[in-house]
Amino acid sequence: MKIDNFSFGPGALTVPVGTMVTWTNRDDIPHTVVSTDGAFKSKVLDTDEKFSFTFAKAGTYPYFCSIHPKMTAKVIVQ
Amino acid sequence: MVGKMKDELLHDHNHDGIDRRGFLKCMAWAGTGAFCVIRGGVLSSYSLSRMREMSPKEMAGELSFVQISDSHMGFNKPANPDVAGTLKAAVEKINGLAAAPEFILHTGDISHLSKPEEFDTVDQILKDARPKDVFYVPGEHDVLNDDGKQFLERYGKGSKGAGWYSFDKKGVHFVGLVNVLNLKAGGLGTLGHEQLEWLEDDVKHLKHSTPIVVFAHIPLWSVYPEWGWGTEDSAQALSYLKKFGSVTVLNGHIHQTMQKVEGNVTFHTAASTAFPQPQPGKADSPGPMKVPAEQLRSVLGIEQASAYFGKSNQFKLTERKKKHEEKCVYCSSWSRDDIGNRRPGREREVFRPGAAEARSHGSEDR
Repeated sequence: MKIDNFSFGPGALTVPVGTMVTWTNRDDIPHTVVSTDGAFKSKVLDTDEKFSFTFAKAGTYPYFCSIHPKMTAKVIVQ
Repeated sequence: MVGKMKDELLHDHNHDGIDRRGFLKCMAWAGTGAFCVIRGGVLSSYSLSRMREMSPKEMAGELSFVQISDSHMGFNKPANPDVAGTLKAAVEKINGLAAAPEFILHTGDISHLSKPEEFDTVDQILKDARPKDVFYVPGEHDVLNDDGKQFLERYGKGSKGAGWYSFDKKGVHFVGLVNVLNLKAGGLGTLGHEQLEWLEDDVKHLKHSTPIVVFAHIPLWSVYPEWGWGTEDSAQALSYLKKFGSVTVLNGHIHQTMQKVEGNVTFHTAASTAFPQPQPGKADSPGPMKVPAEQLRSVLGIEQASAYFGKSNQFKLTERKKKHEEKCVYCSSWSRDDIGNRRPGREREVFRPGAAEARSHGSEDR
């Protein structure tokens, strides 16, 4: 997953159960990756820093950047 | 104009046409802050970079202070690799004012990553400012990872809740608000119920004639919600201020100056001392305005313009100068007045209530 130009890409990612997803911040500005329902929460990620989370259960996981809350996306685990 | 531009290249140590002072000057926003003066209960605001044009009479009033914002200490990307230098430039401008302002307001994003050493550096630089009192509100970059605990420990003495507070200076009531915590997915800045209740109570006992100055990081008006440039519950906060004759709202966050009048409220945003951001909707995202590597030298290479300004026929555009201005990301946003003088595109103007209101709403709305 890339964080670039104040957006998460792709906006919706579908993965099988047990997948580890890694986000990398490609922006000049720090961002965070925070699950809307509390399932995961990264520390602040400066440029080129990464955050990983393994999705052990099926479901839809909406998340956002807690610094720039207009940035939203979701991971669908099947 | 000739005399003013002459000093752009004073110390060309490397013989490459670049010096720090010229670099700072080319970036119209560098060292920017706002000089605010209250006269007859009404606040006027001027860019620090235009203070040389002002007479002492214009600068005089019951109370004056300076607003600076978005220092982003720790930022080191190409848009500005020397944010300490540009903050120092702002302090130099503050110290160069004929009369020392009463205090400084910092409207947040003091640091870039909430690191203790970033706050320390800003504190150290601001110690050199003639006004000794600095009042802060946090930006979202100041409350990373700890929900603002460090900010409160450093700057929040005597404040309420997450760091909001009020104080009175020479009959003016100042209110510092916090709208960068507990942000919700898809949402804007938030004040929250507890802070709103406090605000209602804080201003309840004040006379209607008391001038009010509210300051917070994210704009308390809807500048551009698509980029998160607004505050969800600002209307509620402003409703408590309706009874007052003069209300001024000072914000940062958007790294450019803007102003707007709504009824009794005048809104101002301050430029950043660190780097500019695009005008609303004029770019894919609100990221720092970057200087492509191949343009960096031309941005810094103010020597072409300064050589030109040293000559007497200043109003005749040369190809060389035009080329510089087209390539320079900072100069390209400037416009020319009818006699050919360059004017920054978004400089702060003298606020006159009638004129500003006419500009914002059109005369038919008044």
